[in-house]
Amino acid sequence: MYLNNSKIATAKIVNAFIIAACAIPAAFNVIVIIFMLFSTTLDRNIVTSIMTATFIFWTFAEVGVIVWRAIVLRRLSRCRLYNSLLEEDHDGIITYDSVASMTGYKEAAVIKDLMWFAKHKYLINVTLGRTAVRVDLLSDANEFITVACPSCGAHVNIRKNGGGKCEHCGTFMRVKEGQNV
Amino acid sequence: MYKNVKKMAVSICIWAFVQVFFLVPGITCWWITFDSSAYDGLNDPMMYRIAYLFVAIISTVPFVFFWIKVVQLLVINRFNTLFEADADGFIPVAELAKEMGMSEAKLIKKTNNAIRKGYLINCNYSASQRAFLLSDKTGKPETQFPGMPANQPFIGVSCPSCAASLKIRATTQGTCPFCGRLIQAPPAN
Repeated sequence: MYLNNSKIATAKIVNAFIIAACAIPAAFNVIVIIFMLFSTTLDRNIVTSIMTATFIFWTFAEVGVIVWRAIVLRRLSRCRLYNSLLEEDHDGIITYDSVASMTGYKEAAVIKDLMWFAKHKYLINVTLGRTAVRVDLLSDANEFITVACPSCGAHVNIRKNGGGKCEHCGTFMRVKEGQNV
Repeated sequence: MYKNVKKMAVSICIWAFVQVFFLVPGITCWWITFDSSAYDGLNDPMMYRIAYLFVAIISTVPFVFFWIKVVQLLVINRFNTLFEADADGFIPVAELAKEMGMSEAKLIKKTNNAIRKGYLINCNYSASQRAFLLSDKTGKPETQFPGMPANQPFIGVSCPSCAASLKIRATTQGTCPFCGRLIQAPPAN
């Protein structure tokens, strides 16, 4: 697991709280604006005009904050997509271009995303290459194991709870007890 | 198991709670909006009507979202069924789109969305191969159920006819893509 679930959950709750905190006054502002624009009994003067403009400004500002936090939430959700790809990697090293080809995003966008997730600790147990387009996966749980391919005898790194294909002959294999070489 | 049942249940419960919370004020506001007698004696009936209409629309949004979520989860349930029935862990988009009866673009959008939100797990979409790749993970023992694919991980077998290395779900039947021979996969252990 490369996803920092607790941090992501906290970020989601904080963003949801911010959105709710903006949405409620925004809805109230809209009702007030309706009152100011459509009321026939309201005495229209410079003060009411300024108040209406202020309410409209605050409503737009609150909608802007809601959209901003929604964009952040959407970006956060991509973290799960990257985690899913990293978890499926067999040998512990996954290049940026392979992530890009899997996701369909541009490589630059993938690097930017991964840097942002790693910087804010949303992705953990991940070390990003600074210049090389590689991601080294260093899991705490001693997740990877080196096994000998039953077909060609090549040494291959695979996940303990998963499996993997031999890079040389393409044989799919799973880990058995005492198979570590 | 390719659907995250816990997350789906939590999500639907939250939306059900929110829509019930907004349902009563929503219905009341819709009723007041179109009830002319409610505005008798008021100086600005149009203004009140617009305000009630606005609140009614806002209160209806969670109700609409709830049903959109229900449909979305039903589609994810269907994805899960199709993924579980797959033998080799490689499902071309065209094949799945045909099964689901929707366009490929729509299918990719829906699955990507489900993976991003964590409803679909243990699978990935490969844009370069235009296919869904199912996980090789065996899953934790506590999450495995008898007869479910969690107990049927993918295993490596050699085709008895052409000796090709194949990946197939344990205890299922498959066909060798090279020579077409029917292969009975052995149990995982």
